[in-house]
Amino acid sequence: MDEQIALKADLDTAKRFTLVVMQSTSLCNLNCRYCYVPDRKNAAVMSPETLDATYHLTVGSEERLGVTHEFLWHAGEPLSVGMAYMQDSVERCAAIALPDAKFRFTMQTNGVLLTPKWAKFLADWDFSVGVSIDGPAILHNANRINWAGRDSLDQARRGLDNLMNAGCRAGVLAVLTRESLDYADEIFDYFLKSGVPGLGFNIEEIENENTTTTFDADRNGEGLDHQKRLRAFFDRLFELWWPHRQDMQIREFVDIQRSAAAFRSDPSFARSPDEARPLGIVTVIRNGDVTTFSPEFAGASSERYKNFIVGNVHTLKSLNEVLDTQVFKDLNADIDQGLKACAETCAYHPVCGSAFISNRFFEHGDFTQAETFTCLSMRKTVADALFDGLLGLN
Amino acid sequence: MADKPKRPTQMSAAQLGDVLAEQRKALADKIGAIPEEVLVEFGSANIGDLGHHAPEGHFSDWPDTFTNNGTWYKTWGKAGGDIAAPVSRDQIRPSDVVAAMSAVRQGVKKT
Repeated sequence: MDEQIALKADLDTAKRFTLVVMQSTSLCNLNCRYCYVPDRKNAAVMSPETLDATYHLTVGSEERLGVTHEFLWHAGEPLSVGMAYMQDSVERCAAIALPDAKFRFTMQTNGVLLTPKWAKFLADWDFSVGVSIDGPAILHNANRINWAGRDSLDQARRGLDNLMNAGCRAGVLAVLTRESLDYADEIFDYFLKSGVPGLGFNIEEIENENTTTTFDADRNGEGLDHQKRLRAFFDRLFELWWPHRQDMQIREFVDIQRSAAAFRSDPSFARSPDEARPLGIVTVIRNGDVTTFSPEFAGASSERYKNFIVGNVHTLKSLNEVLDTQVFKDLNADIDQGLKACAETCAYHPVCGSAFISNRFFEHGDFTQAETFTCLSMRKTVADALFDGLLGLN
Repeated sequence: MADKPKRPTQMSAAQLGDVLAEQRKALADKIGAIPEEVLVEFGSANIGDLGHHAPEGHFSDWPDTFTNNGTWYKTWGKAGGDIAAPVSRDQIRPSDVVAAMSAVRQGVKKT
């Protein structure tokens, strides 16, 4: 291939899409047992100046025209800032965006504060919204509680219903704990009956503030056979889901299936997570500090990577300046080593692409080791269950 | 009792290469055996039209971007359209992108 065409291809790919994670507050009305976000009782919010500076660097920047920016409000509870603040936030974005800038708004919420009025606001601004619900009460309320220790499922579910009634694009993210693995039928039935069009799963992770999980014994090889339990969970989930796949997507199955289809038509194909691309994801913390790669790095401590801060929106003239910082260069070089390790040692690389960058750091203390508990659980095991399930349809 | 299988870090490069090649072939064979219409169902037109709730749910997780047969996908999101035109490479690494960007900023043409 002509080298200049290859170079252009790299640039186009890198500039195609940036997820801008807006951590406008760390305040949260819930105190979930597995949360990794620090400082969740701090009511401070991102200032208007920081919001403006972020928009100027992204949708207001000539050099980023052609990039689709997705502004994701995330961590702590985005709705806790109040509707007036959120309205001002999106209006500022719309005012600063250049005429040809492409952007969209998204949010991940616990749903508790999601009234019909909020739902209408989010629908009016064409938000896509994810609601965090772990399944039936026995699972959800075991972990997702407020600061007084009270259950949150009824409120979260009302919020999800309000969202769907308002015509908002909605999805549910459910955390799988060790206990969840015994409840595949109950989890599936609960979400199918809810009418939500999309369901994704996260396994409880070692991340940042969350230093222990219900899977600790499994991770250390001391528990029951974790992979067998997880495999049984996803086998059963596939069996339940396949006849209903038109009604509700399950992210883990759909994404691997799409990747497998691409791999079959092009054996050199491998997924390439935005999380592993420089500026594929940019996280802006309340004070304007910027991190890139995994958003879980925001607020994390590391001497080597200077707490993962690669700049501040108030001093950066261009997002590309991030690429010249020493912190970024160190981080990038080490992450790259881990990506190569995955490509060279893991058969599942084509349908995974070395995801879960932050999990490597939080599980192993560095980026160079390929396998993590998370990728073993959420890529390899899911892929095996999916492929065997599809083959079993014959 | 049979020996426990070695972990990748306990193998020599040659052993690792052999094991990996075997595993990759097994995975490719498995994917190859899945009926075409089943495998492409989600890889092409996405699934059913669910009215205003469809076609994309949303999650706070971090997506991937990839292309298949000229269509760009974001995992867990809609295909094509707003993701712009296909390009000729579908796997990139951070170092490639940084090198390319630096070269362009400095006005250097790669030869």
